[in-house]
Amino acid sequence: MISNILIFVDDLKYLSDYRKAGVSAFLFALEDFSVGYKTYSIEEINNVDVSNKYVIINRILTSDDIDKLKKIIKKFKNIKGLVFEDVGVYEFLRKLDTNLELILFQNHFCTNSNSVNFWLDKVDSVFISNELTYDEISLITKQAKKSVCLHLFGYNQVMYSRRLLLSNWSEYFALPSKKQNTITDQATKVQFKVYEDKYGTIMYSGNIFNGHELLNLKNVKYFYINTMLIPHQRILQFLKDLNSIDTQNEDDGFLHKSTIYKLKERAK
Amino acid sequence: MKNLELLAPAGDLERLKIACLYGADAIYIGGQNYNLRANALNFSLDDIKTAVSFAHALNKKIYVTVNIVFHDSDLAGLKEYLLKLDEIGVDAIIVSDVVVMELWKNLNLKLELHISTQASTLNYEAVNFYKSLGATRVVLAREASKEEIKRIKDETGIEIECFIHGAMCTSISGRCVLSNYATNRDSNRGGCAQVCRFIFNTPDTDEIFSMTPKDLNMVSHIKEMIDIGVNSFKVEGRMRSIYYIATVIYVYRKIIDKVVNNTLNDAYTKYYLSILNRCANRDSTSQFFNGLPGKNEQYFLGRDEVSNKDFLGLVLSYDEENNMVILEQRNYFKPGDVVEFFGPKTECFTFTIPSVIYDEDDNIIEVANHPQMIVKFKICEKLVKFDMMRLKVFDISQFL
Repeated sequence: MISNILIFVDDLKYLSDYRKAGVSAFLFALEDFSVGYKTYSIEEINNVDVSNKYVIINRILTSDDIDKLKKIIKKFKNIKGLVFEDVGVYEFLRKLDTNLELILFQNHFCTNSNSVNFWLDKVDSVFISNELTYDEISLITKQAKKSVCLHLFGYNQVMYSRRLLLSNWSEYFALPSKKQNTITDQATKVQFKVYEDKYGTIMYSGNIFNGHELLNLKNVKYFYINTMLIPHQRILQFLKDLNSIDTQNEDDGFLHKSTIYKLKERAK
Repeated sequence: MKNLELLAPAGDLERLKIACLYGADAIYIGGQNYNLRANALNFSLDDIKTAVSFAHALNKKIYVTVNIVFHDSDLAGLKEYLLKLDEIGVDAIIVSDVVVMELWKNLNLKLELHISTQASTLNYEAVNFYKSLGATRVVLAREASKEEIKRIKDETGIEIECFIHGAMCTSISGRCVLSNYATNRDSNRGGCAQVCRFIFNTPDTDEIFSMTPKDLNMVSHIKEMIDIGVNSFKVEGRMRSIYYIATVIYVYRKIIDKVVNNTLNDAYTKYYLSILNRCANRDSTSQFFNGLPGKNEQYFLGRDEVSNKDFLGLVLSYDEENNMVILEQRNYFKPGDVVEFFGPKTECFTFTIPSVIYDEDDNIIEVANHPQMIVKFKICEKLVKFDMMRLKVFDISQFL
């Protein structure tokens, strides 16, 4: 077991399992400031007795949210760091005298070495996008001024909407309300997991991203495991053998599949 | 009066000229690299130079989108490109990746830095961050409500640009890579395949559905937007037709001017709304402006996007001696059809196609039925190049 796994805690009852498996850094989503995750109140998070405790705030925040967050931050106890998406969080925290470690986690951004280093001048670490190839990630880790965070295992976040897409859908078709579902694109047969809460809708990849080969890379602060929607037994199995892969439900995302954006590139 | 700007899209020089002439104060365009419409025709550096000369001669501005999220391999040539845009006299770049913001600062460019809607800005602290990097304007996320826009303006004083018309993303712009997963096309580098408009199903029902949002349309809210401090009113659609651009810009120009002159009333608002809805051939709503959109702000099924045939002709010239218009046909018309003309300096008026119409060689024809054929006929009202002729559908009297 390597020492720098950061795991999202989807249920407090699993904490001891994760600790037994050797995990030493834990991520908790803060109620009212996170979307697409199981969330906890600040009191619940404060009461968790672990040393490397991080809070994730991944919503795109409004000005009112920022005001509320400024107050809640004062209630943080024994929290090592903040993992955040919205640059507004950085902007107000940089003016505060805080000991919190700051880790930028902007989904789909931070895709080149210069941008990553721009941020590493300001924060303690940066999550590298999971839509990059292995070679692109490797280059960034080599050129990064500080150690970075990499996605290791879990459903990749694919889309974030402020709309309540599942509620709208069930209301339109007069179907029972569901807060989780799987949708399939009829043309490509590609599936997506959909998760809705009161702050919007997150769509995750249909397959679990398994990036075990990234474990070879250096200059990594944390390898991140997002446990959301994954059976606990599979998480434990992966923690036991980080090289294990369930080929039915898991893939390596874009590690060996470069995306294109000009159609003529496809024609080549 | 406040500094108000109507900002139009243009995918090529023809569209740019139409947008300028029909009332835009500024036009945003994309170069052949680094912009989110990678598969549009886009502008070469020579085209951008021409665009800047044309726009500046009319006292209008040109903004260039440099708003992809860069991979390392995309960075080659970026510095030289920015220097060139600055040298050409482009007024601003619209960006989302901090790599461009940092480069802009290091190169000490004269052109302004505008933050793209792709940066998903919804709060005043995020705006303060971008201000600290030198940005003079932020294009807010399309998810911003009226109160949220006002708060940001009040707290920061920065120039605020908001979308007022056109297609919407299902997601918060920039926070979606559905296209990457479904089609391997990178949405944040200009390859978006609009997967949210595809047809989906779920395992628990036979229903099929899409997640497509209805278009944005802020005709009824321009006054409120001006009152809360919005500076720039942005129309989406760099790949739209010249007719669409002319119609939308013409309408919003009228609305903004009427708000400023305090002459906008409900009848005109409804009239303009009808024109815009027919032009886009889609339903439209104000989306997030007055709260969270629900099921009525989305299409789920049965949306057939069949374009209408309203755009009948583009005026090429007018022979004042013989009172004869020469136009390029765009859709079928014939003598007796009731049409209307409108243009940059031509107030919209109704007209009946005369009984005698001619082709390019002065032969009398019964119908104008060939795309882009040259057609001539007599009309006493003086017209000018780039005026347009469309089917008469609505009349302001219907709404009074």
